[in-house]
Amino acid sequence: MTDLLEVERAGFAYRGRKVLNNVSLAFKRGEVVSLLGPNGSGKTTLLKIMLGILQPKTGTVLFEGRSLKTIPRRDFARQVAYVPQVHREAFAYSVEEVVLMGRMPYQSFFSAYSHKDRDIAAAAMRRLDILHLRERPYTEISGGERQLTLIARALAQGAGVFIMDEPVNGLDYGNQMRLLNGINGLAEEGLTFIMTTHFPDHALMTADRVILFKAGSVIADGPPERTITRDAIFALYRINVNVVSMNGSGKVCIPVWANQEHHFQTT
Amino acid sequence: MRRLTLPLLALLLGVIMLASLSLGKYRVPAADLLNFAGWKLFGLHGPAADNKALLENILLNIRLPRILAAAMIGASLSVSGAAFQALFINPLVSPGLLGVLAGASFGAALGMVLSKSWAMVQLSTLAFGFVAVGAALGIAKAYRINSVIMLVLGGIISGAFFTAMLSIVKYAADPYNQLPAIVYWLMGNLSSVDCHTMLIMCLPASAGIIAIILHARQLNVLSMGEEEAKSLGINVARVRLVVIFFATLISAMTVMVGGMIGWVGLIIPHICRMIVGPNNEMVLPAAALIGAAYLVLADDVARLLFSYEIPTGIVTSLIGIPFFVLVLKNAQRGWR
Repeated sequence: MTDLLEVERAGFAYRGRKVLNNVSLAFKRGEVVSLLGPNGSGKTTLLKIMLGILQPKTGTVLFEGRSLKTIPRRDFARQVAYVPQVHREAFAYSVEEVVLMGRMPYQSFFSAYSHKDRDIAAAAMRRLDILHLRERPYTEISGGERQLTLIARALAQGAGVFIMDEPVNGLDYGNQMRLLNGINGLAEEGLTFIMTTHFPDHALMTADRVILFKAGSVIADGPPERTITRDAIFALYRINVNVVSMNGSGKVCIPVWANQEHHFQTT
Repeated sequence: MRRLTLPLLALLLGVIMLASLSLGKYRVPAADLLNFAGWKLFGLHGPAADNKALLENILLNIRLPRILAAAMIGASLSVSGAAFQALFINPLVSPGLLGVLAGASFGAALGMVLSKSWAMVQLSTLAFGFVAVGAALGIAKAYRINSVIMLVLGGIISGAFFTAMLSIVKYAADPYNQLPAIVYWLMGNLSSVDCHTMLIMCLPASAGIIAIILHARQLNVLSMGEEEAKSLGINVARVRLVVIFFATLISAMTVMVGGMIGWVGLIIPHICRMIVGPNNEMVLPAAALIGAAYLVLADDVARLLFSYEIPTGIVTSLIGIPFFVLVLKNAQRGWR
């Protein structure tokens, strides 16, 4: 069976500064993958290359064995959805209007959104429990609600693969946990998730595969219990942690301050 | 209610245009208007014979082309303004952003200095509108960053260049005949519109307006940002180019027919969003209707306010500026 998404020796540079060095990765359908790495390690660039938003300077990306370049944008959009970081928009579209945008890859030029499109959008909003917000302006709801709206849009897109850039960024603790739980639920239905995160704990909670990134290269790739280790976290962030197994509720990363200087000393 | 908004706006536009037909130095009462229409359209008995020629001249040769031109110009500026606001993800952008108005003004002035033929002036206006936008796109392209911000910078550079070129043309122009003509032209006025000009503008302007309205949903998605639009299957580069092409066409035509008429393209889209919400499927057609009605009214004011006519561009600026101050309060909400 061919892999779902394949990145082959992809390289990328912004104005001569290399951000990806010959990265090769393959993703299978149904995987939940977390990309972990410090700021500027190339995670987001990799996501954008896999989405065809950026063209790799070297190497190729294949989707179901076909080069991304040969797949029409609309066809690709029906298979792979992008959930960007939460943002504020210039125009106050309603939540429903934003979710309906997920139906764009199915529209012909002259038709309007059909009843079927509206039903699918409503189902996506119901699935994420934001149906009551449908008339509200997207600019006036909370960050968590905005993120849910963007995920609902991706659901309405009908895609089996969700590529998410720091989905919990800017959300409060409650919304972060609810979102991660929601992602787990969708993953159980067979959706594929590839997401970046800044939190090893979140990777431990959701991912069945973790890829560690540093300076544009993959330094580890595997199940979370093997990749998120004391040494790996130190290599990425220069922070000492203990990875502790909690009875029945997975593992967590706990920072160890004892052996470190206090860089920001409190009085 | 929402379903009725556009038909109601169309009705309003119709009423305003009809009323404007009867308004003027020579008032044509509604009854005479009806009589005249009955005679022209259905071959009814019509007005008194000695009145027919007079009415025909006033209504069909003078007022109707002017009113239609005002409607076309108002619709064109409003639609291209609304389209640019979505395209550049900024509600405070106006149709001149990429330099089309500066280029077209330069083209008009150059044409007036170099050629006696009005057709050449019109051609030069249109051509330099496109040259200016082409230059803006070229500058953006030269930096190989096809982003919104480079386009805006390209537009600023191109607009500034053609404004400077316009000054050169003004300086070189004969100060007794050409210079006043150029200055008067740039104030924006519709007094020289005739049937012929109107007919030239009609088809391409309507085509451009309709083409942009058909891209409403694409523009909605584009206003979420370039990367998201791509990930939703939109061919960003193509939609952008098509919309810019038609916006340039219809904006340059407004300069060709009526000179510089300011503020319409910035303000009308705001009013439309207040009435129909931010969805471009509603905003763009509403902008066409409200923009048309607004400019017909503004032109009525220009014709009737004083005993002599004042340039329509001055009226739109005088109405537009205070209105913009009011609108700003609302616009801020959308700003990051």
